[in-house]
Formats: sequence, structure tokens, C-alpha cells
Amino acid sequence: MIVGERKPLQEIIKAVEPFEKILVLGCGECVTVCMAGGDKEAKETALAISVARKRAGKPVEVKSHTIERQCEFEYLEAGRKLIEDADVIVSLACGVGVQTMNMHYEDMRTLPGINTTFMGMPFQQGVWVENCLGCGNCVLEETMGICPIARCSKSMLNGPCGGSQDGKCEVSKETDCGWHLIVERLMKFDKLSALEEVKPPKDWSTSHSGGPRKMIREDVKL
Amino acid sequence: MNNNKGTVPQYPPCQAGCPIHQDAQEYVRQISIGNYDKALEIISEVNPMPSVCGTICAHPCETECRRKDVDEAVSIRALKRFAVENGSWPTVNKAQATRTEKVAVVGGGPAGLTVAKDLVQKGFAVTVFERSSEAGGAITNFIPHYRLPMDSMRNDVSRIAELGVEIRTGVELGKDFTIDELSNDYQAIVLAMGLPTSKGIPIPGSDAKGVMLALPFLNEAKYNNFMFEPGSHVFVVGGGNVAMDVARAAVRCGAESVQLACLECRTEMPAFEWEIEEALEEGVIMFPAWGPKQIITADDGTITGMEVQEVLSVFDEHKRFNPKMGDKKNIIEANVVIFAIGQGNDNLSYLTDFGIELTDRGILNYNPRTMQTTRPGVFACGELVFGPGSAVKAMSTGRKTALAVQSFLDNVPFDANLADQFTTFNDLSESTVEKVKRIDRIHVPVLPAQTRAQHNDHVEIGYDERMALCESRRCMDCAAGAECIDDICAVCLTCLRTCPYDVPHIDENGVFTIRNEECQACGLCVGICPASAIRFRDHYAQHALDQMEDALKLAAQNGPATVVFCCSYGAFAERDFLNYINNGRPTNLAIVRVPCVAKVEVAKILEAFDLGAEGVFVAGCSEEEECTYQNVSKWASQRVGRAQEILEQLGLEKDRVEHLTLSLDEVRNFAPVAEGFLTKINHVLNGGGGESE
Repeated sequence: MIVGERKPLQEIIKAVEPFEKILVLGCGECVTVCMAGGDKEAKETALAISVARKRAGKPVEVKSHTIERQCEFEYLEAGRKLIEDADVIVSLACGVGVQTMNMHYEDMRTLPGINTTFMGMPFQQGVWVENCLGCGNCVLEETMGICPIARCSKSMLNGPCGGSQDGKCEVSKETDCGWHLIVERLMKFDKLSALEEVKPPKDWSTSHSGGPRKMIREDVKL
Repeated sequence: MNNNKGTVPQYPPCQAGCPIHQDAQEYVRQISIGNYDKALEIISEVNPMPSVCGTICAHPCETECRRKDVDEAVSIRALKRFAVENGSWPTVNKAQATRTEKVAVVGGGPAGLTVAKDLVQKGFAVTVFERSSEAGGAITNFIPHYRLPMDSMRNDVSRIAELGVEIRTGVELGKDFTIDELSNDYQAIVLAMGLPTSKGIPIPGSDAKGVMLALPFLNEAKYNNFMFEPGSHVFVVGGGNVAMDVARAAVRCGAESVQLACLECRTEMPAFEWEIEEALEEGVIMFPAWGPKQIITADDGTITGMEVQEVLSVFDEHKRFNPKMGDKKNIIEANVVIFAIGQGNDNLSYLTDFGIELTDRGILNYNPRTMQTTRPGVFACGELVFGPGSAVKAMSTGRKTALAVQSFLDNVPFDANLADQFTTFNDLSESTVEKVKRIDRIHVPVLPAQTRAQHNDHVEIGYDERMALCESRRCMDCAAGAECIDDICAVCLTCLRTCPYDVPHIDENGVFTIRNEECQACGLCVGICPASAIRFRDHYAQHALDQMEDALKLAAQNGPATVVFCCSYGAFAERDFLNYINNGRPTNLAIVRVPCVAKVEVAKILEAFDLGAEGVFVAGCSEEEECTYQNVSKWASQRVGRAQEILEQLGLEKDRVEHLTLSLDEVRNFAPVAEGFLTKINHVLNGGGGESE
């Protein structure tokens, strides 16, 4: 899923300063699951804006609402009345949702209320970790199900760098070395010899480096 | 709680087990938050005899209580007594007479009084005809003072009379009036004469001088200061509750010794375990699994002993009463024998002249579906037709009979089988049972055995406030808690990871559900669900939180307002604390009692600031061992921490919000704590608070 975290409230409050009727719009999917932009966060954010504006002597009308999935035009329709009634929308969806909102409601400003951070999973309650970069050419089969692109800070393909120490990455002692994990798992399956094969340089054209991507399935098009 | 699904109500197991469906869960909850008046109001609404039931009810609610699977059932009956003795009785408003028909009820015991109460509340004129000098039936006539003080019964009866039920005492059907005479004045008649006659056993010697029957003995002991001759050694036959009453009454009537034998072995004895225990403590010697063979008499006809015979089994493989005797025999010395082996009805043959037929066994020919006898318009209820049972069971038959009478007078069909339909919950799953915190049942204090057997004072002392508050918290709030709003649930599994009781669950097909019936109502899932997709089936938690707005507005009239969210339970429910927050607190302090401070969400704290609060305190208690819930302080503290972060981002001092765990003493002496809150907030307002941007 897509993981994000709420922007610092001061940033949000500054962004909505010129507006008098604000709608904080949560999204019911990924950002709900990662507890950044669901209904509860939307209510909290709306209240925080309201408190700040009252304290600043400029009270403002702030409402909150949650859309099932902000990255779908059809779901966005469901909130039309509330949306059009506002001066500005603070979307707590990921960047995809914010853009879908701006596409669908062209005459309305929709501002981002969260920073979209990565694709990942809840490693434990309250802790989310990055697992995938969306490179467009999956190599997980070769690396025993641990992604060297996402989980190695340098996205290396032929084994760990010299900065791997005690299983940790030189970038941060909090970060596991992805290649250390891969090697351990290769050993577990007695496949360490696979590392002897030298991988050619990765073709990054399938990743974002090849420009914004698009996927088409002709068989399901209307 | 009555969760109506269609037309059939769904009750928690306690309420389902109660023959009159008393809403035990709700009144126990009201006790737990210190609202004893409301508890008694709830009890009185359904129960015609709250004082009696609070004292001597057979409490089938406890038999069904799901807590018994965890440790022991909640002590519901004793809690009812606590509510009765500590709540204010709701005012009795005389029932409005809206019907022209009159109903006669013959017999003023629990069944008859219930019929009368219900019918008078339905607008009928009702007269109860009671042959004793006082209403109450077996409760009045036979239950010893040491088990039920007269005031309890009299209070209940007088409240029924105040409703408008006319109670005539000292008048007996078949002697003072006939069915035909009643029919002249009353459009329906209900027979509820009970089973007032004791049975004996026709063994050799059973006509000897010194043989007594249970009920006349109990009545003599209760009302006529009956005392045994010095040197009396009493032998009681029977193993049920009446036999225990008899044995214990005999101890108090001056018997030198009291011995008791019954067919059943110790574990099969039908009497309540606690009553057997209390009888043993008072010196009664018991011989379970020994049956009476003959009463041995001297030449002058006086009793010298009882020959008893070993019992191998009482019931056969079909669970039918079919005692098998062994070869062993024994003679137990005694000079008084009291039979307490069962009850029957009086001779009812006088009724047959009036179209009321009897069976071959001399009992009423009765249609349990119409609840009528063979004479149309003459109904019957209670032990008279349903056999020996508890007072509350008799009341339930009375309640149903009232419906039958109303239908009869309305000329609409009635079927008793359809009159009381309900569903209840399944047993708790093993995984939930394992995870629920064990909390010992608080046993109800009684007078010491050494002294209580010397007088007729009420043996049971009853709970004090602290005991009642702790015991009431053992209620697991069956199914009152979390349910999922499927339409907005993101299936994020946060609740599944947070719940201490395994209530949210993924089944073997990978389907996620919140198993509401397993829920312990701690509310942790509600507080953490990021989709706001979990709500409580019962709305009490929300109602409590909703009190904040009004409380805050009121406080804000008296200066910079501070909100205190505090727990509703334990010391926070004691009279002293409630008295302080209602009458003694600083007027700019809004105190909001919530059913667990872990239910206070970050948004609620922000809402307080949005409504103008200058500070918010979340006050739980440090007695976590006593608390039914788990990890309360941890979650309350984390929520407050999050609120502090948000305030700081808004440029407000984080010291405006604080979580505290108070000791019992601090809760009981809350004034300095409350003053401390205000001092802290004043300090912040004067520029001395924590970091501010």
C-alpha cells in the first residue's frame, strides 16, 4: 500500500490562511490503513485548523469528510456538494488522490495535507517500512524475495557494499542492510553461489527514470 | 439491553436467564458508575418485588452469566440488594384506570402480586384476595427472618398496593367466598394459591408424637417464637432449600442438635451450595445419600431415633427419580423429626362445583397455552400450576398470565408459547475466555457463624459501596461493545492488533469480522480505528463523551475553563467523589466522567480546545489491577502525547494537556487535585507553560 504522513500542521495552516471555508478530505484506502489520512485524521486535522484559526482571531469554517477512494473519479462525485461548498480542499489522500481531485474539480484548489512517502507495509503496529520502489522490472525471484532496489540504500544489484556492518546500513544504524538479509536468505536455501553470476547494469527505463508511466489493457477498455 | 432484531428481542445471557428478563447488565452498569438511583429505577420498572429478589432470589441470571467461564459469575443478586438499599425508590404513581373490567386474583404471593401489578398498570381494577393476615405468600409465611427481613417484603407489597392494587387479607376462597360470587363482580379471575402444604412420607412411625412438617414448623418459628423443649435433638429429612431453612431455623429454635439426611449425595443435593455451607457452619450435621426407613419410637410413643438406609443412586439412567437403596443401615438418635421433602396444593375439590376441573392427582386441569382452567375466564399461575420453583419463576408466570387476561378481556387470541420469545448470545469463545482478566468475585459478607445462629437477624450483611463498585465492574458488558460499520471499514486490521481479547478475527476463509458477542467493551479499538468504522452497540460511552460540550459551556461562564476527563468507575463512582464534582468543584472546571479514559480520543481533546477550553486533563487511576480493562494508562498516555504534539504544532503549550494516574486517596480527596489542575493552567496562561513556538 501507499504510505504517507501528515504534513506539519503549521504548513497546512499557512497554506489555508487565505481561505474561509475549508474542507479536510480524508481517503478511505491506503492512507486510512497507514493512519495518515483516514476519517479520524481528517477530523483531527480539521479541529487543529479550527483551533489555530480561533486562537489567531480569524475563526474559520472547517468541515471534514472522507471519500472511499480519492483516486477514482466516480467516488469523488459522491462528495460534490461538500466539495463545491468549500473555498479550498485539504486532501489527506496520497499524491495520486490529490491530483485526481484537481483533475476532477478543475475550478477548486485541492491542497496536499500529507506527504506521500513510499510503498510499504505495517511491519508492526505503528511502524511502516518501505518495500518497493516500483522499478517496473521485478528481480525478487533472484534475491530470495527481498528487494535490493528498495531495501538497499544504493539499489545495488551484485551484493552488499563496503558500508554494510553488523547487518546494518551505513546510511543509518536503524536500517537493516538489504543485501545482508538477501545473503542470509540465500544461505538458508543453499543458493549463495547464485551471487557468483554478475548482473548486468539495470535497465532503469522501466522505472520512473523512463518518464511518467502508463499502463494499458486494451481488452478491458470501453 | 434489548437489541431488537425484527420482533424477537436479543438479551444478554443474564437477562435471558432471568424469568422476568430483568435488565441486569444495565443496572449493574449503573451501579458501577455510582448511579444507584438509576439502577433501582431500572430494577423497579421490570421487577414487582425488587427488595425480595435482591435478598433471596435464586438468581438464574448468575447461572447464565458468561463470566462463569472466566472465573465466577458476577454476583448480580447481591448487587441488586445493594441498589435496593442504596438507591432512591422511584415515586409510585397510582396507575390510571382506563378499563371498566375488574380482575380478581386469589393468592397474594409473588405470582399473584405480579399479575395484579401488571394488570393494574394496564388500566384494570384489580383486587387480591389473600387468606393470610399479610400478603407475600410463601415469602411471608415461611422464609425465615434470618434470610429475609420483613421490611423487604413489606416494602415491595406496599409499593404494589400504592399503584392501586386492592389487597384484601384474611379472606379465603372456598370458605369466605366462591368462584361464582367472584364472577358476579369480576370479569376475570386468576388463581395463584401456590403450594402451601408440606408433604410427609408414610414410613413406620411417621404419625409419632414429635413428627413435624416443614411449612407449619417454619411458620411457627417465624411468627410464634416457637422453641423446642430443652434436650431436643432434631432430625430433618430433605436436601432442598426448604430443608436447609428448616435445619437452620431449628438451630435458632433451641435444638440441642440438628441432623439432616437426604437421598441425594452431597453434590446432587438440590439446595443452593451456599445455603448448605452456611447450614454446616451453623452446626447442622448432614448425612447425604441416606434415606429415611423408619422412625423409631419408645413405648410411650415418643421418638428415639431414625433408622436410615444407604442410597446408592437417586436417578436412573433416564434421569428419572428412581432411588436404589444399599444394604447398609444406621440408626441416628433424635426425638424430633421434621419432613422437608416437598410441597403440594391444598385440597382443591371445592372448585369442581364451579366448572373448574381437577386431574386425577387433584391438581388443576390447566391449559398452559391459554393459561386458563376449564372454566373460561378463570386463569391460574405460579406454583399452583407450574410446580415448585423460585419466586422469580412464579413472577414470570404471573407476568405472562397478565397478558393472557388482557387478551381474554380484549377478546383476542393468546398463546403463551408465543408470549416470551427471545434470543441470546453464544458462549464466549475459548480464545476470548483465555484473554479476559481474572478478577475474583467478591463474596457477600455474612454474620459470623458462631453468633448468627443464636438469633434471627439477617445473616447476610451485604455489600458496602466499595465492594459493590468493584463487583459490578466484573460484568463483561456482553455484546454492548464494538461492532463494525462494514461500509466504511478499511479492513486495516488495526483493531485486530490492538484488541486484548481476540474479538476482531480473521476466519479460516480469510474473512475479517469483529465478533461483537465476544467484546468486553474496553473501547480501545474505537479509539484507534483510523476509519471511525467501529462503534459501540450500546451508546453509553458516546453519551458520556457527549456531556463535554454542555459541561464546558457551563464552566466557561465562570472563567477560563479547564476540562477534566476522568474515569467513571471505582473510586470515581464513590459518593464522596460524585458529591465533590457535583457540588464542590471549582466552577470553571468541567468534569466529564467517561467509561474508561482510554476512550478519550485525540479529536475529543482537540474539540475541547476548539470549544474554548484552556486546558485538558485526562485522569485515570493507578489501581490497574482492579480494572477490568487492560493497558488503560498506556493508551490514555499515548493519546495525550499525540494531543500534546498537535498543540505544539499549533503553537500552544503542551502543558495544557496532561494525563495523570491518580491513587485511590487522590480520587477520594479530589479538591487538591482539582486545584492543582487550575494552578497548572493558570501558570501556562501567565506565560509559564512548556515550550511554545
